[in-house]
Amino acid sequence: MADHTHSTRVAPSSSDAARLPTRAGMRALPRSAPPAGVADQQGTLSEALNQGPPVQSIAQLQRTLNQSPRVARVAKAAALLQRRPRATSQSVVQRVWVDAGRQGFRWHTLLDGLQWYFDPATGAFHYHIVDDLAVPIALWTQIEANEGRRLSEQQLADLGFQRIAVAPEEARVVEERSDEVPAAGMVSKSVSERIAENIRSGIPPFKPELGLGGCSWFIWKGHGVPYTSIDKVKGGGEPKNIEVDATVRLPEYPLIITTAFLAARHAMYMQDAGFRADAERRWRTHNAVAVDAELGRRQRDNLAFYMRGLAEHQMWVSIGHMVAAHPSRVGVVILTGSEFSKKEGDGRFLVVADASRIEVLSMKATKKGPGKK
Amino acid sequence: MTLEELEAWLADWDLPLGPFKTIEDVFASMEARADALGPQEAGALAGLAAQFARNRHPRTNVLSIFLQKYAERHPDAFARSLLRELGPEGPPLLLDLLGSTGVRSAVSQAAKILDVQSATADLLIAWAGALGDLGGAEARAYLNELHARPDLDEEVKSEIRIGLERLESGRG
Repeated sequence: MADHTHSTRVAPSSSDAARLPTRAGMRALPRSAPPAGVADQQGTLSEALNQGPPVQSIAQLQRTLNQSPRVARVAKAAALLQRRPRATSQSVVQRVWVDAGRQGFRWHTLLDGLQWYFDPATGAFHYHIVDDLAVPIALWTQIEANEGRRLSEQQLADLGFQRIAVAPEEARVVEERSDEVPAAGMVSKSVSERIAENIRSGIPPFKPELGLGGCSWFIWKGHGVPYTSIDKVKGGGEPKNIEVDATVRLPEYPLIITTAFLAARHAMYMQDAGFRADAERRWRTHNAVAVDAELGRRQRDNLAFYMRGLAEHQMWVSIGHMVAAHPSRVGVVILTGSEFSKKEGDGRFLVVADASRIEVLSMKATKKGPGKK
Repeated sequence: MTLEELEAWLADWDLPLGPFKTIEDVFASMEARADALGPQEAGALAGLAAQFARNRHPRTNVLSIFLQKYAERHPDAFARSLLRELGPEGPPLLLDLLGSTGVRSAVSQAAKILDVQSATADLLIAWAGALGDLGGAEARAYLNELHARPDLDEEVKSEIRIGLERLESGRG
């Protein structure tokens, strides 16, 4: 199997280089991805990032790249690919295409110097290092601890990403993405009435800013049913027994949150001294345990359970915040054998901060949980 | 109260929570259940607690948290039922729960049932914890007696010390 881990560099034109940012300038920018048609700019980008003055935004960079003759060639190649018959309209995230301007093939290239693809057979995301000198990946994961520096290969592996060597012909098994994916959610009767009112008024049906972490959450139908807890919530509030059948229009590069990332994020809270102190303070208050009382074993066990539960909720909220802050404003949470989904709970959440991407198809009362048949 | 019902509740309360439930929701749900269950369920619940502990059921910890809340609501009935289930070797969970009832008269009865001399460290930790929770002169005497024993496990010593401190501070 050939190992295509290096790209062929193409020097930027002098006019491009003059408008492109330095690497230092790029580090301060939020992570983004090039739009369709500028995917094959890795060599150009990396060179240019070392040469040109800073620009103000990724969008400005992309506009600059779109003006180059090479981009026009790349866009043409991408268009050729899009004329191929569509694969199954599920999944995700990378679209494979052939660069007619070169021998071999290229995928959409991200600014972090890694190319990504989704393996539908295993459900795993893989990456491929194409340029070690590219802009750091740190903002891919938004882990604060790693911000501003490139993740090592081991760190990527710890987050559940696998490195592979891929021959061009194998790349063709990558699924094409579907722009619209089926989504299911559960809401209360009063929320369903407000959704209906929004639709009648011609405004987006959901208000993600009111949701968990500033996002609306859905199950991506057709990829299993991850545990939501919604169908178990009875009492203590209005039951969520209206199933919403919807579609979510995916952006080019949604934020992907893997099972391993969730585990890392949960562990981050559990190891954080500030979080632990706050959790213990709340637990003592709830259980009327004096702040200075040393805890016995039974109490320590109870506190540990409380702390793990609190960390899990914080984790979900932080995922929402990450998606809301991400340029795509859409996230995909992939749960595969996860400790955060009860048994047989593999599946995917769609986490959407951009209300305009959600379209409601129908709503109906049900006793079942979201996505269940 | 059947095993199936209880297991369904525990599955609902156990982690993971999923995105739309908080740990406070779990505690509120446990407290609502404990409120709804009357003292007549004490016998069944004590029996199920013993069964869970002896079978090392994976959700014993969740059951323990729920039954601590039940013990606070129906202390006398539950203490009587726990003492009926208690054997010379515990199990330790029953002592944890007995401590949560706060029924001081349970101290002497439990002491008669337990085989403290050949008890495991786990049982001694639970016994010391229960004595600290239940409090009173009798509990203090048993804790002092335990404290004087040589060659105790460090964790047992620590639990005895915590129990005695609770009695000293009036929290037990």
